[in-house]
Amino acid sequence: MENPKERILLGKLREFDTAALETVYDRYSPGLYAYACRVLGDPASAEDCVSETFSRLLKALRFGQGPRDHLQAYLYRIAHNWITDLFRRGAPFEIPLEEETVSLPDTTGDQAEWNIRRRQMHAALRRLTAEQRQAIVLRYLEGWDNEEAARAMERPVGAVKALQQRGIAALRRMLVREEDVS
Amino acid sequence: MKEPIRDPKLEQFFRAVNAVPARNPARMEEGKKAFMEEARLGKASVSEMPGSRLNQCTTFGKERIAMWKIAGALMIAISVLLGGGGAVVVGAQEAMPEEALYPVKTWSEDVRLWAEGDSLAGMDLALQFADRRAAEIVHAMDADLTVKDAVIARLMEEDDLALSIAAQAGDADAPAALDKVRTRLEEHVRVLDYLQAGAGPDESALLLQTRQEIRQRLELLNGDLRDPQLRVRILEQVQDRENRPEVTPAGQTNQNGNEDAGQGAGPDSAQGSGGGSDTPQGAGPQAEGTPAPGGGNGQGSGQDPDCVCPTTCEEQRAGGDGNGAGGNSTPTVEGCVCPTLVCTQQKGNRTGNP
Repeated sequence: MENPKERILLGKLREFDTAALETVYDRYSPGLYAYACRVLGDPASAEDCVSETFSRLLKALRFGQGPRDHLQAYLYRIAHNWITDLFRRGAPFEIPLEEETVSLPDTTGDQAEWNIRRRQMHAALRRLTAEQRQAIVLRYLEGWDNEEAARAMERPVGAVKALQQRGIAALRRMLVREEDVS
Repeated sequence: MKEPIRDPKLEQFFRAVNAVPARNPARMEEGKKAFMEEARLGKASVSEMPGSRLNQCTTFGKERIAMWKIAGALMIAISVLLGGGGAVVVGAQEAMPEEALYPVKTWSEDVRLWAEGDSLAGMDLALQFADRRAAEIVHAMDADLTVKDAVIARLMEEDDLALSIAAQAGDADAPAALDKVRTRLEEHVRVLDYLQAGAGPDESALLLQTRQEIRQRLELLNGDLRDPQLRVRILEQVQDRENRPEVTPAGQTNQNGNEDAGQGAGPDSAQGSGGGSDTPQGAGPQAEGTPAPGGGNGQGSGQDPDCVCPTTCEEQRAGGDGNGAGGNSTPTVEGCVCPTLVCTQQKGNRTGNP
């Protein structure tokens, strides 16, 4: 979150300070990878998302733009935009086989069923509006509070909460009712 | 602390995507290396003091405002020395490109742009002057006069100036400013569409190219104008155009003394010479045979009215013969000679033939 240290870091970033750039990459790239992976379900695409996010950060800095504060929110916004563009281009939805080797978080469930749920969830996330998806993922998967999510989305907290509610309702319609019917 | 989902069934789906596969360390290291390398290159292209980048005098580039400052100061000095300059300037405002007072008109416009700087008022002024250029093109067509390349070039420069000011406005102002630019550019395209119907072959090629240039600018403006990344892409696009050599409708390249412009390094690192050398130095993957601006012999005359010419850069690339025969950069489609569209991504592919 915004603090004097981050402000100093951002200042150094604008000067293309090597140590600052490395710090930023090391600090935020794992989280961005996880975020992209949760939305896309594909590690290779998630890596592409991370690369492009940091590349766009550099381009913004080169033009004297880029974040003045809240670097993390800025980076997640870029990643979200990249993913939204990818979905708009109609990129095929495919989770590679090796990705299925992600192990169950506990030993009580069935692996096959768990994999099906993952695929269904990825497909459902993709069908949400871009803002609903961002609001849902930041809040319920990344564990951000509403103020942080609002900063990343550049929307008021109330609007973010409304997007979450509508997103959850849409997911319930898509996932839970489908499951009940089947 | 993650917010619990109160629906247990739905929560199972969230839990299913929450665990992510471990990151491939090699890929991570590779990504970091690429990032640091890009940063190193970016650092090299950015001067240490951002302010100093705005104080250079060049014909093109972000420094255009600084160039206008100097031009404006000279203009004022000359006006004061000669006396009665004000009346001349006022009288010149209605001058058309073929008239003697036209240079005074454009000088006075430069002075006004200089005075506004890169404020939003400067953007409005640039758009207003771009409208004047559109009106001058209409006048030339109506009067059966040749549309001057300089008028077209100025129209593009003023559009780009408006775009770059709008893209650099703050988060609060930029979307509305860009929307305003978009509206004006769309209007310019409509004017050119209208003129195209009654144009002869020579004007038709010029109008087509100009329309494509404006459409290229509009492509990005059709995105989410609130997106800061979009604004960066707009600035990049403007910078790309500013760095490329001027290409006339006949496919001839003019160098403008910008030391970067002569290198012609493209996205694939092809090193086109483009600096007036007779010897092609292109060595990139597409250095030969790909239709590109600046390397051609110019368009032919007497275009067959049945010809189907490319209207986008993608179509142009797809329509080129691709064998590089004779270094002719004008794409041939079904035996027709078509005007060369200016495509920024082809910069690195120039062969360097003047």
